[in-house]
Amino acid sequence: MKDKQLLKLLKAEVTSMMPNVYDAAKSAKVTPDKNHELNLKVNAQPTRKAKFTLAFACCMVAVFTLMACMPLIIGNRVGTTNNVYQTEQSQSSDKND
Amino acid sequence: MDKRELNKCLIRMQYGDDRAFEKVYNLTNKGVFSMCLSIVKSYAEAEDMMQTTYIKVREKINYYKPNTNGYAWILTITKNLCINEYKKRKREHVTDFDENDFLVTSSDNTAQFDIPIFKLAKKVLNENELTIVLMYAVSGYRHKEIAEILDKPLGTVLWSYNNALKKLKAQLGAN
Repeated sequence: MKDKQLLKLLKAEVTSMMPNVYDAAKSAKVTPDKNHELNLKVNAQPTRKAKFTLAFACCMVAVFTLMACMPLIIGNRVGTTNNVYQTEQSQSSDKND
Repeated sequence: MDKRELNKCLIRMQYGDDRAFEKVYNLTNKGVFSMCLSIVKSYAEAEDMMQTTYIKVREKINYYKPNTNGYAWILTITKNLCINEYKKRKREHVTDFDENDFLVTSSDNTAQFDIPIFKLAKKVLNENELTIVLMYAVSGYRHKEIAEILDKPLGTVLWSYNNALKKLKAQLGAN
């Protein structure tokens, strides 16, 4: 007998004897446990993985911000140095005159 | 297996929608019955376990985490209930029912539900093999889904499934 035939036969036979317990299950008086849901929300703590991910993300943002601002910082310092050098040069040329 | 549909229905049940329970039942009844039958190996017990499972699902609906595998959640409840019941029955009854059929047939009305191939499968296959074959054949789960539900490696499930079919075919050939 082929696999498919065997499985088809098994399925047909088991399905034919499947009981219907829907009505019995639905009519049973059941009180869903509601407190557990509240406890989950109150006691929920971020997982260790979530904490590390957040810390890593903050570090990356800080690094990129610093890298973006670096040209401005360097540019300002170079500009200041240039201004001081030019002032000194002009002073010395005035003296020579 | 429509996981999204089942997930939606379970979430609606959490919000108190009783009509969603009917859909949950229709989507999962084959899988639940296959699991019960493969563990308890008796029609009457399987029917009881199936009813207990759905009552438990209604009771513990708030323990279901939305957007996870609803089938795995329900079948885990089924498996745990059936295993507890099977262990309880094993402690209470030491007699081997297969060998001593004549002692119970007078009051056992479920003999008429013992189908030939299932009876053979019960004898020849172990619990895991029977569960995998029934879930594949009756409930229509794929091997990957069965591996996820039973928390076993896919290779193990495939090997057990093929081994089970070989045993069944060998026994059918011998008979």
